Amino acid sequence: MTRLSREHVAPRLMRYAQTPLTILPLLTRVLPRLIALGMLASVPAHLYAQGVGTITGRVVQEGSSRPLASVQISITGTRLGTVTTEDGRFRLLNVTAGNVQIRAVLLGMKPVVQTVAVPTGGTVTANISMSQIALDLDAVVVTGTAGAARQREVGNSISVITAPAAAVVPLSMEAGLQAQAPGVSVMQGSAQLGSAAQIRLRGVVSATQSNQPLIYIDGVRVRGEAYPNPSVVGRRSNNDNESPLNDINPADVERIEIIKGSAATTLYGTEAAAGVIQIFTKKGIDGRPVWTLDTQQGFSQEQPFAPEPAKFQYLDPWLQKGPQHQYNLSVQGGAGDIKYFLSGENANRQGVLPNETLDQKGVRANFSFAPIQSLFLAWNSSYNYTNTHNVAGGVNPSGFIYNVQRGLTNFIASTNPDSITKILDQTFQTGVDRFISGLTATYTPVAAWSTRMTIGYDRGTSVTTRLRPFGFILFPQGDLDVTNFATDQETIDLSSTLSINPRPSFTNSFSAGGQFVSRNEHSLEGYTSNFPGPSNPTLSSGSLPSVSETMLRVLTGGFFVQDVIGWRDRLFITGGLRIDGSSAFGSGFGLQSYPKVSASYVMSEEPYWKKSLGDLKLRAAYGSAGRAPGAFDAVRTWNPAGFGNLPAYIPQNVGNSKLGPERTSETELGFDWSVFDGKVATGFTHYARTTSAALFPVPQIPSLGFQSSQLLNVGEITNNGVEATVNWNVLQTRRLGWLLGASLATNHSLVTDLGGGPSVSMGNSGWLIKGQPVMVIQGVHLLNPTAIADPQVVKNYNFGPNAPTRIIGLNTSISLPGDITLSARGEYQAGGYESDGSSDDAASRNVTSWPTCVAYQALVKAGTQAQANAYDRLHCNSVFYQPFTFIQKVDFAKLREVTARAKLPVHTRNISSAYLSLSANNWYRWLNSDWRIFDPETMGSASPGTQIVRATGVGAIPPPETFTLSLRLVF
Amino acid sequence: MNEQRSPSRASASAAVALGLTLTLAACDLKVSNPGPVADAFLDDTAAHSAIVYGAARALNNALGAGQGANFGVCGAVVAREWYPSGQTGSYSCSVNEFRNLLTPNDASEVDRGQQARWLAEQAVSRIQAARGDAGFAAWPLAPLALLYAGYANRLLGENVCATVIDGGPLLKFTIHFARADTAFTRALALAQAQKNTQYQNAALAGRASVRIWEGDWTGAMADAAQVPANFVFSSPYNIVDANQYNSIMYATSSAAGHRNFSSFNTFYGDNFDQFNDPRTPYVKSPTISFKVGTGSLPDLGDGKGAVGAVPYWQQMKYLTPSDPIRLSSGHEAMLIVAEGKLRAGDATGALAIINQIRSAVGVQPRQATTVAETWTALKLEKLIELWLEARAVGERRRWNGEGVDPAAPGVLPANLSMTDRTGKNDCWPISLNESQTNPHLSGGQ
Repeated sequence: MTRLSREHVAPRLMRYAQTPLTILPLLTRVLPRLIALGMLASVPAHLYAQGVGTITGRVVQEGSSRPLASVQISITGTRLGTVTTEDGRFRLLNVTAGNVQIRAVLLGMKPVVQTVAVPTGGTVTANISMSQIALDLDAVVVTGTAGAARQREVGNSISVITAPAAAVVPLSMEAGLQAQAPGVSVMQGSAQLGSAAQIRLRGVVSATQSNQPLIYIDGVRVRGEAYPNPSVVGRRSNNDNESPLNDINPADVERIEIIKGSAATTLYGTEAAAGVIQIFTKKGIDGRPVWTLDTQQGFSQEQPFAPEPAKFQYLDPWLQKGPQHQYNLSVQGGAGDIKYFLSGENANRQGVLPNETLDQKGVRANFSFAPIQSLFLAWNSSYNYTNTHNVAGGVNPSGFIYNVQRGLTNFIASTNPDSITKILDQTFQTGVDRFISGLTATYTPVAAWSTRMTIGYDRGTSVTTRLRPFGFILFPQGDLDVTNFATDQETIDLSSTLSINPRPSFTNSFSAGGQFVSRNEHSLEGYTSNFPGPSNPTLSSGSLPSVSETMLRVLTGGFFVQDVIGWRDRLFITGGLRIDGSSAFGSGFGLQSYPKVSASYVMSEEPYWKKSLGDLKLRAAYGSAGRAPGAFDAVRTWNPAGFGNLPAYIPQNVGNSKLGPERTSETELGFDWSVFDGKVATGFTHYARTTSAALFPVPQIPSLGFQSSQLLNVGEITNNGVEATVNWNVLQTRRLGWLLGASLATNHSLVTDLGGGPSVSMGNSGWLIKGQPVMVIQGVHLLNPTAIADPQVVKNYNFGPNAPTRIIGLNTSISLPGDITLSARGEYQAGGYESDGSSDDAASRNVTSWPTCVAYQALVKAGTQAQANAYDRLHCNSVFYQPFTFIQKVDFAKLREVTARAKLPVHTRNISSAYLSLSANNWYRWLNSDWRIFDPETMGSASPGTQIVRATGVGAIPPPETFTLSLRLVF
Repeated sequence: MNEQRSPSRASASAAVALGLTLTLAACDLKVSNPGPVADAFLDDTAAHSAIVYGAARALNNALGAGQGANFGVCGAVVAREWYPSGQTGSYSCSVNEFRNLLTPNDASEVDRGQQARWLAEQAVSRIQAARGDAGFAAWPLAPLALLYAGYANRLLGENVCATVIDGGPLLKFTIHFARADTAFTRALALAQAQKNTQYQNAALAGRASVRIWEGDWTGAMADAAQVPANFVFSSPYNIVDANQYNSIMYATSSAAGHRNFSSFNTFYGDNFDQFNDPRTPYVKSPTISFKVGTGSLPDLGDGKGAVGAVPYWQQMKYLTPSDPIRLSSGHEAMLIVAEGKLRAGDATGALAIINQIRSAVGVQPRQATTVAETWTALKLEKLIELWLEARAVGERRRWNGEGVDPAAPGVLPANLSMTDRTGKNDCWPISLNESQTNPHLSGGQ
């Protein structure tokens, strides 16, 4: 390695600083050396004292020359390790001279162990060829386990998504999760930039608490709930909530592990019942710095979402192709035991409507360091800033979309585009700062004992500004709302594992540990109106200021023990117990216990097993986890609401001192099986779970004053379903390859107990009714839709569940000569129902220009409405209007991504590989015939991340299709 | 690998242990969330005034504040005090309410009223228990707490068909007048002792207004006669936040998204056109072309079918969101005396009082040559006085014979009629929430 001195570097820096055009060489050459220089000072002295050498090499897929990226390369028996770059190359420095074993591991590939003779002070080349396997029992996972565990040891299903599966960097974390794993539903909110998606793992686990899974990044628990959207009653309705997941740069992600139910999430305790998604970001690698530059240029555009002649619902004059630009630059490198991954991103996007812009900037710094062989430190940090401008959406008299959609019955009584354009003269801005940092120390004094501690910190601030300036067409006096929301979360995770082998054929690993999570939230909202004149106002500018503030702190902590007994490395029995408490249960923290037990059995490694039957692992798991109520739910409280300028208390929460978490217990049974020499891999899981002591909102007796529903542990809901996957390596030759994958997930839920209380409305036509699915959609059922007659209806008809009952995912990847890859993935969801709140709103307000009623209105105009069928009369004639009429079946399919990627024949001194990709997201869409307007992902503020019942929201339009051209250069 | 690991291992172990200890020691396990107030804090005497003002706010909510259903806005729809400008579901008044179909599912204003009643009555008992009888009697806000209890009960009594008290069994709606009478009587005694004339007059006016439901015309007239003609006792509204706006004004303001109700096609609009009566003012808004309702509400119960576009005629009784809504007034008290005289056969005396009020407000006197015409004059005068004060539904029920007294004669104009709509309702039933949760009503099993 070239040694750099300060004197050596400074003149170069000066020279580069004076020539801006040469900034790239500065970044690619000098900066890594500076980093290396700084790190070298801390390289342990023992490495210099011994004879060491270097191993370089390249990993390719067997039978072809296709390089394999992200392969984990390690030296057996040491902590030395790295991962391969985009072109499959790796370099390991400071390897002890002599014969060593290098191990190459990549998900979906058969692990390779190769012996290499390392010369003292020299370099040896070790090229590795890996063959594809459909079932990788030795892949290491960490989510839901006390420490790292091989897949063969794990009794529950776990989905792993690796970055190489994505040929291009996804547009967002949420988009990257779509159609990637069975039982994972990720529904976008609307066309609004920054809108949070609704993520569900195995359907709805709780009727009242969040169903968003817990999110971990590199072992640090982070905020997964959407940022709250400020809403003061009586002002304007909301736009969509912003997603905290989108604060994570998808380009930084190496892999994602998903565990979906409490059979797997027991060790996470309270709040883990809805599953856990753990994101692992890229790490440093040994050897020279490897730079990766990703640029993405593209655009998004709306597909028609309404019938002719208003297929864009009169938004045509304003709809546009929204340009998208994204730049990611990263460097991976390391020296000795110090490794680093540094990255930065700069993205700017415009939406399909005017005033929709998103600017995002972020940096990440991941360092790992082994000061001594027994101690490994990893410090991962990221900072991200997102500035989003949106058009005003939602049920908002000043909303742009709402006013266009309502035609002549809008709030300016005009459909003149020039008049409507004036509504755009307002500000909807959200600035989000996010800082996440985690320090993990893994201490392994002896091979049999390892302790890991992670200290994490996650801070997010969201500043939302909503301004209607002085002179605004719909509120001439103007107003301003500024909301500062801050959340920070401190976490400590500790886990220690002692492994002993009492007998040669038995292994035993005992683990114990704990977690502590402190979550704080603070929201401060200021509002003012009546500006004296045109200005760039602040909250002090209006004559009618008001303020509101909320603060919240919740502590959650727990301890766990777990024991894994292994027999001949093929049968594993795991038992565990988690004891948890939360400040939401009062000062006693209401300790709860959650047990788990699981077994996995690699049957195919039994002597009697015929090799032709392939590899088979059977698994079974049982476990429980919980969901805690809110911080104030257990106590009787009064709202110090004020009465004018006087103090006043009004009832808030009736309270229930016995309130506890709801408990979800789940049993999983399944297998993983690969046949035909590993060419076909199947996975199957049946799960059945019961949420007991479910928290249901129990209405209170109104004449007793407290009228808000009180959460009580009175209910019970069940979920069951299957998840099946098939991955088929259809073709694999030196020049051609074809992979085909499919998945099926079903989910059937049921309310089995309401605690004796009445049915409960959950909003958006969703109900909790005993004997019905969880959140059954209830409304008006039309009996004679096609009859030329007046509608005959049944009120309070239970249509079916809100959540889909089956999801089918399909993916394929075709490799062509010249390192060209074509890939696609899509999904089909069916069985759910939604209410169309937007059409309902329009019908209740007699919006005669509503696209689905244009034909009916033509009949009315011609005086021939007697020819209209019952469907049109019910939905378009206000004589028959009644609420909850617009219920539709949510059967749809979307092609989430289709990509063509080719390696460019670039051979320069600096560029080691270059790839060009063209991808399209949501390019194709199929909707069932119920769906006459919008699409199922037009939720708006009706059901983004925080809501329970999904519905079509008012003042929103569907997410657009996106086309992206990407160039990835590796230096 | 042969390295000397022991010292390093020991150091690292110590460092890990120290780090862990320090980290855990640094954890702050105290949780104190500000914001909502624990129930026990309300026992502090310093909190008592906030309890009373909370009852006042709850009464405001039920009467006419915020965007939830309230008797002021939705009652005005039911009693045809204004005409819907086309948006169904406006200000939480259901489509059924627009059509005068008052079902348990359309009765959330009853829940608001029950909260106002419970809060005021609970405020009295809680504060009295904390301060003792003497302390409570001497406390300046004690009469006010009792007044709110009285007015909340009156609001419920005038508008509901049947009722419950504190989760109890089904009761006749008139129970609220008895409870109001008791509360006003106690308020009167305390106000007299404290020499608070305003509260004293409010108690007298309030008690008079409920005694007419109990058939106690002697008592009602005696109380009403003591109320000064220019007396007004109102529920204050304010602009601190939109939840405390006068929603009767806000629902009809000219701002976009409002303009929900119009004086078009109403008796009150006609009254203003005919007499320029300052008690029912409105303004036609030619500058605002907004017209809605091209048949969106085809059946309002008036038998007219679709009315086409409804022009926006803005009521001008309430001009700002902080305009108060009257709970009692000297003019109402005078009309109680007038009705008492009419019921006693003194039509001339009744008409004289009516015209005394009309003279005071500057409109020409009414003529009536028969008892029935005097009844019509009295009814119209009282409806005008009480316009948009959440009282019209109750008064008309009472004149229709739903109280103690038999139905009163006197024909009302067609656009005021509430009796010619077969199958329609003129009072709110027990709410669905109450019937589903109250164990005495088969709810809450």
